[in-house]
Amino acid sequence: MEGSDRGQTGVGPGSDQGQTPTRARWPIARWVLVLALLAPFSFACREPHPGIGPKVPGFMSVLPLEMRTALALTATATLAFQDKGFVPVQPGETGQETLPATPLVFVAYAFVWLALLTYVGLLWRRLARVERELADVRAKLQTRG
Amino acid sequence: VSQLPPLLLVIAALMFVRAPFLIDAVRYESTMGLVQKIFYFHVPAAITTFTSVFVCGIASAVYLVRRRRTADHVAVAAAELAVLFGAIVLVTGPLWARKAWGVWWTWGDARLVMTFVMWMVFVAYLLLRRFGGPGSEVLASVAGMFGMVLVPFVYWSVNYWRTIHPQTTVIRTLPPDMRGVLNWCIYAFLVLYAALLLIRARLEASRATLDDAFLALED
Repeated sequence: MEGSDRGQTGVGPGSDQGQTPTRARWPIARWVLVLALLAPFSFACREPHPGIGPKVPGFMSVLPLEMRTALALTATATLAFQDKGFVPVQPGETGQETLPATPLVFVAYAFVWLALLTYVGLLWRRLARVERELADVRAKLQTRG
Repeated sequence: VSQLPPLLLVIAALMFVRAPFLIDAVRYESTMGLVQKIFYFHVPAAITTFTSVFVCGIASAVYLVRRRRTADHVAVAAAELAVLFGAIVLVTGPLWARKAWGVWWTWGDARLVMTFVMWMVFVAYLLLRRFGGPGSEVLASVAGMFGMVLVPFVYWSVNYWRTIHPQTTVIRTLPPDMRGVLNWCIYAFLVLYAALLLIRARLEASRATLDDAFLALED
């Protein structure tokens, strides 16, 4: 099953059975991709000044540029990813980074370590305090007989 | 039994110390590059959260049916740990998403929103236990069971709804080297979780004993 998932084109990693709902949604996904990819072009065709140049098609003019671009990037990345799953980089191949990933990875791992160590420390303190109080109360109970 | 939590903590600490070296040595993912390495702590934290939610839900059900105090102590411990590990998931996820998707968070994604809702249920559980007063443990137990029911929806949300989050089959299709490092991290998180659960449940039992002792002192 693992081997058959990899390397298929046009089918997401979750749709290896062929008749799953994921596969049934693919035509819709492709339409979303086409519309999303067309969206930034519609902005390029937008009139630079009112009354001059071609008009923006109706529904496209509603979306701001950021939304169209985000939609296009998201749809492209999603469909490209779902085609391949996690594919390890080949020897000699270098990836091109646009946004530095190092700070994000550093913050993620630092947060995990900090959260876990803080929790363990706090838990130890709470446990020590409760057991100290318990020992005090027990001692008082014993003195009262 | 009292020696078990420290022993588990030591094992978990050793595994956590080794983990960054393994993560550093494993190959980069071809499209996401370095940022995909967040995956090796993000997914184990998510699996630990699910485990904790199940433990809380089952312990809550046992408490509701049999009224055993031990079950209630385990449920409180598991709920607190579900919030802790859930917070790790909810922080590391957006850090990964910022690079991979270009956004920190999207409210349109079923997996993200449902995970957040499930986490909020356990925050509500803890608030209920903290401020609910006497009898709140019954209501909290119902909340714990409700939280457990959400887990399958969260887990399969990526397969049944349109979402940009990777599907559950990503784990199965991992190459052996990536899978090995992921397994190491999952075991590290689960060993740590077992240790913390035992210690936290013991704290809750000690608190209950302290309350009983105070009542005995007043009488």
